[in-house]
Amino acid sequence: MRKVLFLVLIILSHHLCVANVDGLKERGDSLYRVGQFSEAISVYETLLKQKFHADVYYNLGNAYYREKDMAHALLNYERAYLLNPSNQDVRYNLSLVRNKTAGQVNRSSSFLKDWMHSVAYELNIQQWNMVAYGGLAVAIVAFLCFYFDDRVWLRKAAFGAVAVGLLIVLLGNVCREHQKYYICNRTDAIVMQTVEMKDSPEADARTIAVLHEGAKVRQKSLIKKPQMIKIALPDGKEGWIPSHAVEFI
Amino acid sequence: MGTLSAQQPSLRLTAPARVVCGEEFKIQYVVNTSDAADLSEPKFPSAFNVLYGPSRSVMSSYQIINGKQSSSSSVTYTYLVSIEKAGTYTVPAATAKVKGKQIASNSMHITALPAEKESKAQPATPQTLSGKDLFIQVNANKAQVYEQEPVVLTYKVYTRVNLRQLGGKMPDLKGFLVQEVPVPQQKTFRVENYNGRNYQSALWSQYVMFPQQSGKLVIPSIKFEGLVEFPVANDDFFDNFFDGGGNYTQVKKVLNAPSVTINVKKLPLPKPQNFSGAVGRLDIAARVLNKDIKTNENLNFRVSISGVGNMKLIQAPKLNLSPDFDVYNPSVTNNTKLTAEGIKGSMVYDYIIIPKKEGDYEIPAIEFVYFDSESKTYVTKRTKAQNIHVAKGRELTLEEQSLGRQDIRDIHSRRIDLRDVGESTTSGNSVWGGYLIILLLGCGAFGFLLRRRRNGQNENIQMRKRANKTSQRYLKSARKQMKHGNKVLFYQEISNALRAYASNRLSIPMSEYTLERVCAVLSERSVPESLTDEFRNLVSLCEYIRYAPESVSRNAGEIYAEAEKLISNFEDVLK
Repeated sequence: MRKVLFLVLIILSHHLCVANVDGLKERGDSLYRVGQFSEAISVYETLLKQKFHADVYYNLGNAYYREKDMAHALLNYERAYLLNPSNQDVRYNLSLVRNKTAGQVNRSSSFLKDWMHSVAYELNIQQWNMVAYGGLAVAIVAFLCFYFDDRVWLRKAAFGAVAVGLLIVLLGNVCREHQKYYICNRTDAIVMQTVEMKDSPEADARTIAVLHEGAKVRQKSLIKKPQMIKIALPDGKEGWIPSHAVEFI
Repeated sequence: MGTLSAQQPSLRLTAPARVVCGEEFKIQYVVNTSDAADLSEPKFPSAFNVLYGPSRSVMSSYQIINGKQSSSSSVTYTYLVSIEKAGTYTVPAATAKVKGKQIASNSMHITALPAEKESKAQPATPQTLSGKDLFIQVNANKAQVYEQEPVVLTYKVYTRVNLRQLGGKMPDLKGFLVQEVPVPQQKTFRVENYNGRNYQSALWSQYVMFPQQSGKLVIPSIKFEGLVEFPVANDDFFDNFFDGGGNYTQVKKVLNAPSVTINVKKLPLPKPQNFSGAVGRLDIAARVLNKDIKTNENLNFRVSISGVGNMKLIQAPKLNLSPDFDVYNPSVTNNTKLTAEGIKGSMVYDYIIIPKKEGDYEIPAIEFVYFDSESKTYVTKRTKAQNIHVAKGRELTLEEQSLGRQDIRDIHSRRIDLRDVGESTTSGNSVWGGYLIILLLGCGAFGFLLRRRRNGQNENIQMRKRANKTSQRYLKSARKQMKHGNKVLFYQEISNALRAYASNRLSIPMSEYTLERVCAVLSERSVPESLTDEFRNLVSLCEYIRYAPESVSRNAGEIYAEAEKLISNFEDVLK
């Protein structure tokens, strides 16, 4: 009897929890619509503690933007972009906020790497899956043509189409895994307050650069130091900053 | 000599600023024309001991540059003087008459340093060279400073020997932002008395240091390497004669500049909330650069922070404008110079503001809070609030409106299913499921097509069997008719055999059977033209004979063999 009760409780609590999350986005949206941005922020934040979704991050970014908190807006747009890079609204707002925050540093990585990264972020994970499925379907149909038809020109074309289809499958998978990698290994962070980048984690280190809020940095090594992390700027410069000054995307 | 000397006649006094008691030195009065006369005897102070003078020397030069002649000449009156008592004296002015006019010279101060106590110390030799003959002194202008307050560190070299080279490097300092003050490459040495000895001294290098943290910060001892030249006394007459007697040896000498400790204090607490981080003596000013302000046109607003301090670490001031203005990040112009007092000059922040609505507005005062390093307090400076009138400007084109990026796009309010969020995007199971479905569909299609092809092949075989069977039957009956000598029936059976074979083998129903159709199908299935012609000839021959049996010259057995061969040839070709 006890066991059954316990089970019922668990199921109920799970259900309740899900129900709570369900209503939260709508509540946040309606608070946003009436201009209660700080309340909307807290609602979205509670929701995101349990489930994450690109749309919620995007809306949270909007709410922070309305509260003129550009660093947090940028952080949440970056998170939304990470989960759903193909959404035009996310891209638009992200570039808008990037332009508004200080400290845009030139990227120094290679052109090819940048290009491949931007190709992979043209579509989101689901869309890349669809591309891969489409490629597989094309490859199979082409193979059937190749195998069963007697006409030589058709067989030649079909052979090429099989290769193309398989390449598309490969492309879709590579791009999807690329995005997944960055979702699972979050090394990029946004500076939330103006901070000095030092050349070593010690207290008497020299200041190399001053980072302003909104600057994007990448964690370099996982060496644990109390309250200090090693980071690299987009232009390749490396240094140490206090870990409380950044939020990981 | 057509040229006139345009320059004004002048009388100039030159003498060293510092001398040592008992050592003789020159005081010179120089007139820049040759026709000067009657230098008035200057009245030197009583401590001056005029050893010789005045001696008058005339110098003139003459030059042609690009065909233009010019000449200059001067007269120098020289006194050789020594001073007996240490102190500061005034070298008096003198007057002279030039072309009947009386002109006066400047006067100057001269400091006489006491003579050294050790009377006539031996000049140092490479063996006796010590830290007393050559050393470096460090001086910090303040021993105790606040964070970010600049400290000037001066390295001065003192020498009594012939110093040819000196090099040393400031190490990377932790806790300081270090900037080197540029000093001339060519060092000027002057006499200075230090611990009772007179040295040639020169400012070697100077650094402005901004402490970045509090506590006792140590600037370590710096190693300098010097090269000292000593004359070599050589008694050999011939060597002296040929080398001009100037033989030198060079000796390397390591000098250690002492370390310096600076006590850096934390800025006093509590820090004001809007403290800008600036330390020094600073001021802020702001003004609108435009004459007319119109909507959708740039309004240039300039804020400048000027003074002395840690200028480079100041953040751009924030403007608290109404939302009717778009403010862009300022462009920063650095008009500062590093001086011994710190970074001096101004930082200019140029904001571009775009008013969106017409009307009267106020650009609010900008508050700038810094730590004044002199009064040791936090000081708040305010710019004046400015009233501006925004007139109606041009309208934005549609393109500009879309490019203007005025605002973010609206939130996404579509319903999302949160229940399986977080798993579907990252887990791989659903992906492979999709592939599996597609592969299974592909396999199904493959199986279906394979079966259809196999059925088709079976049909083909059956068709061939039936074709052979029926044609053989007709051929058999034709043979029988041939034996019986029944020519008409024989040809009919041959014709039947061919027709039955073709219709069955090429799957042409009897109702649609024509010779043309057969030929068309044969050429479609790429049967050689010759074979088709043979077939057509044989069939028409049979038809012909049926109606005119007597006209045939050919043997029935030949025809029979031909028909049989034709069928077997078709079997070879049609697979």
